[in-house]
Amino acid sequence: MPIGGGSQLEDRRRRLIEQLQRMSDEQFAAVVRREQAARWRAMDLERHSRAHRRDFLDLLGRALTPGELEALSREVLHSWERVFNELEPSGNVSCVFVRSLPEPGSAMLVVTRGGRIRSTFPTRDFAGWQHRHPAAIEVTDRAKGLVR
Amino acid sequence: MPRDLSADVDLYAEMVQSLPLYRDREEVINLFVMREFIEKKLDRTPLAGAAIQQLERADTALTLHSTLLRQRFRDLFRSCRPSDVPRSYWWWYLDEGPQVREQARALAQRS
Repeated sequence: MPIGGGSQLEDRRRRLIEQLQRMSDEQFAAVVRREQAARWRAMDLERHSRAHRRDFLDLLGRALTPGELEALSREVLHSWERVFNELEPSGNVSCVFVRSLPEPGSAMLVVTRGGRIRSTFPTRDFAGWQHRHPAAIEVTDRAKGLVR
Repeated sequence: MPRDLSADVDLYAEMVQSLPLYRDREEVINLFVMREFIEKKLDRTPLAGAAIQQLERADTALTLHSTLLRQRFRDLFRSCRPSDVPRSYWWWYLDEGPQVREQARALAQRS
C-alpha cells in the first residue's frame, strides 16, 4: 500500500512496526483481547447513535438505538474479519476491527483505544478508508492465530 | 442495480449536518472518504440538477465548519493527512480555511 509520503505518517508506521515486532505473541494477544473487551462511555454512546443515525439507516436499513449500537459494536469486536493497528500522534495505539457488510465495498468499523470504544460506523468505501490510513498496519493474520 | 449517486449525495449531506456531533477523528475521516467516493463517481456518472444543488449546499455547509474542524481535529490535518491528497480534494485542507474550496475550483478551471 502506498505510504502517502507524509514523513510523520511514515515515521509512525515504522515505529509501530518496530513496536509490534518487539511484542511477544502473548503480549500482542493480550492487547487485542483488551481492545476486544473495550466499552463505550455512556455519554459517547448516546451522542454517537444520534450523530450516525443516517449512516446506519443507509447501510443497515434502520437507525440504531444506543443499546443496539452497543450490541453491534460488541458483535463486531467478537466476530471481526480484519483488524488494524495504528500508532496515533499522541503515542497511543488504536485498534480498528472490521467486518464486511453485504453491499460490495462496504464495511462496519469499530475503533478502540485504551480499552474504550471511540467510534463505530459503516463505510461505503472500505478501500478508500484504507487508502487514507497509510499509517495503519493490518495485523489480521497474527491476531487470528492468537485470539481465535 | 448500482446505487444512485444522488443517494450518496443525500447521505453525505446528512453526514455534514451531523459533523458538530463528531468527537473522534475517525468519524471525520469517514466523512472525507465519503466525499472523495462521490467525487470519484462524478467523473463517470452525471448528477441530476437537484442532486447537484444538494451537493453544492452540503459542500458549502462543510466549508462553514472549517473552524470547528481546525480546532477540534487539529491532529487530523497536522499528522494524519496523507501527503498524496490532491488539492482538488479540498475538504482535506479545510484547516487552512473555507477558501480552499474556491482555490481548488480556480485551479481546476486553469488546467
